[in-house]
Amino acid sequence: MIKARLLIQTIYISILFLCSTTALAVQGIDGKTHIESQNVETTSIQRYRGFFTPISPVNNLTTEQLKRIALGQTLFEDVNLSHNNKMSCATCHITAKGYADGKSFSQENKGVNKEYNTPSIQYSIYNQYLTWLGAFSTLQEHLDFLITNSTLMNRDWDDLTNQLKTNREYKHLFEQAGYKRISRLSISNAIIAYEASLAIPSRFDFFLLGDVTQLTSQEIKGLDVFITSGCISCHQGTNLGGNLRQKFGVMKDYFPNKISKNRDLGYFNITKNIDDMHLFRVPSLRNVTKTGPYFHDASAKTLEKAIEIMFSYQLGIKASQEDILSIKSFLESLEPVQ
Amino acid sequence: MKTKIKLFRTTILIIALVFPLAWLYLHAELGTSRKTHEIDLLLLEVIQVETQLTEHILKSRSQLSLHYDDIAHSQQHLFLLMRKLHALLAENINISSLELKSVEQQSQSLQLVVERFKTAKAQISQLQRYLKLLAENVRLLIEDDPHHIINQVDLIIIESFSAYVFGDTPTDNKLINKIKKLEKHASLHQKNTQLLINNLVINFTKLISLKQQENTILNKVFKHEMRQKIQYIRQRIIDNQYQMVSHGNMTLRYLIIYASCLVMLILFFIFNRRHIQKKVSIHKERSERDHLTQLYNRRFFLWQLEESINSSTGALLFIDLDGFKEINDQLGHHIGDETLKSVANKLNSLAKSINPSFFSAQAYRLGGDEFVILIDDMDEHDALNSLEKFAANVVSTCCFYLDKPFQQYNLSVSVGVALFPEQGTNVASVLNCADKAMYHSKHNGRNCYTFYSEL
Repeated sequence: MIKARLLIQTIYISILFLCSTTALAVQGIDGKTHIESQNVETTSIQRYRGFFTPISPVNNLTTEQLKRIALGQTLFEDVNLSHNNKMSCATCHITAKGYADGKSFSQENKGVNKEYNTPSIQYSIYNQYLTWLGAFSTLQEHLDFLITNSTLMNRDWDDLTNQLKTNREYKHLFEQAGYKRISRLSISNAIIAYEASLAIPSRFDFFLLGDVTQLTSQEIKGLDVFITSGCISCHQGTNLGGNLRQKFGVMKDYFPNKISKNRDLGYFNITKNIDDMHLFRVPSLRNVTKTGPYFHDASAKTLEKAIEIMFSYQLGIKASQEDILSIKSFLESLEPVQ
Repeated sequence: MKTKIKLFRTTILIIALVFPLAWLYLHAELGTSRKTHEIDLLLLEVIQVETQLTEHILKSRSQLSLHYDDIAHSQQHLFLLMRKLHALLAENINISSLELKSVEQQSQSLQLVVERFKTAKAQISQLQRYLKLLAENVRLLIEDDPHHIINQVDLIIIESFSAYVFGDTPTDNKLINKIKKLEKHASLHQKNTQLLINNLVINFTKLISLKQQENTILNKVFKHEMRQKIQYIRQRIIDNQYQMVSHGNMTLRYLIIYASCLVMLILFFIFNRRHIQKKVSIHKERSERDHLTQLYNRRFFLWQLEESINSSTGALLFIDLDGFKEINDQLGHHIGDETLKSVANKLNSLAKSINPSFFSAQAYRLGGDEFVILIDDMDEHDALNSLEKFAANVVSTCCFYLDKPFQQYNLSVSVGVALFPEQGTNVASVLNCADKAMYHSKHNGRNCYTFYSEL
């Protein structure tokens, strides 16, 4: 009887021990991740893949899909879609700036600054929600908002479709792309197809897919700092963010003495719930090197500054210059590979 | 006959009109129940997604999944489903839309709770890493450790990861004691160390409160009313349908429509069948009977004769009218026809008057003024005698003067008798023999009969 009890106890303890050690190993609590330069084992890639999901390259698109993407691009860059014929989607989402605009704040159609910094849309297809507050759950909703908003495109959908219907070139393009008619759905479908086509894999994705030579030792070091220091707790998943909201200023108050502007209240603006104060969508870090200035209020002009602010306010750590540089080099590996 | 055809036409017309109408009505009725079915399926899918969401949350809580992509996908799926539900609600369906709206609200609150969970969970995992970092710093700072501070710090780290090897979870009191002890020991050290340990303790208490928060959030997720509500609504949908089927007037109405259509169809088929049967029998009669005399005709006779020759013994009386041609030519066809009719009547009544114990006879008209009497089932004994009597009877009966205005015309018959199978075993030879015997009678001065066997 006693023997049996002992046996059960030992089995129980050993199972617990195994579980806890694996949990610790996954967490990286042992703190000793010996990574030889250029010789990363596949097991550690497996460990990284627990945090990130790579984007696989898409190769075999049909001609119809390609036509749709091309049509989406034409619509994306056409200033005639706006009310004053001066604004297109590409006015604020510039290819060279990583599909953000490089300015501190987005500009209205009359040249006035809007409240927030323009986010990049390059990988928006992988985001759970869009805009800094995460007000929209689908690209369709977001598009509806942008087209009909009086400070932006300022168009009525019926008006817009009628305009496109009278245009002979567009008629031809829509027919080629396999749309039976020009409507709100077909227009937004083409634009969304174009936006989805922008999400191309980076060197980091190829690294996660198994090609260990893609990252330099400096970048891998950055990745490890990224994980062990705790950036990973928010910037994870396919898009290194984009799937949760987090308080800006977890460890220290980010908005202590500044006059609290409306935009700094964050998600509170939508829900009016006191718990949602200063909550923002965690942005995707993909292609982040090109999309400065950073944060919703463009308070960090350079990437180094942004990393430093993140470390001190979100993680409570004073970042060393070395860590900042290595993380920056890791973030550079997230630029899309053409 | 014509009225009946009209009746059929009207029934067909009525059926053609009633069926599409009934179909349209039923289709409209079924349409609403199809919509409720659609909602039912949608709700089922919502339950499925909600279960998936809970599963993903549990996974990420127990650190099996280290990112929130799965949760985000499920959330998005749920959001889209709610969109669909909203669109369906706009179409105005008879299930109480208020309850479905409450489901929508609950799903929104669930989304909110999940958002809170993700935020809290991210903060927790970040704090865990932070505490670990602090612990390492403490280890670096402290050189000699008489009070086992490092040991106590390690215990706190273990506590923060909830990673108990021996399953001994400390109670709150124990924890507070430990923390107090740690602070007391730390006060003996340098200021740097003190600050660090204070920071550690503050963050640790923060972590504990966050974990409690996470637990309450998780409780909210598990005890969320949405699933129960949905199950309740689905139950109600099923109940409604059952009620509709079992108690409502609907079913009765459907049944009546169906039954009446069915009855109409059945009646139509029955009438049609009868009609066709009658027509067939009339046509059969016409094809077998002679139109003028109502006797059986040549075709039926040949068929009957063949059958008799094959099956039994009998005789054939070939009867030809004497002097019919004069009557026909001089008095006209209608008188000739009348004469033929009266002869046929006489022959028919003669044939029927025979005692069936001797033999059975049947009169036929071959065509023109030629008649035939076929005699079947002749008895061996005394048969020839009675046959002779019968023949004599025929001759005597058919010898008569015409009715009043033409009484100077008289009519008689010449009869030839052939027996079978004695005089032949096929139709042609028997007929031939009877014919020859009849001609013999004609040569013999008419108004008599001749047996072929006596030639």
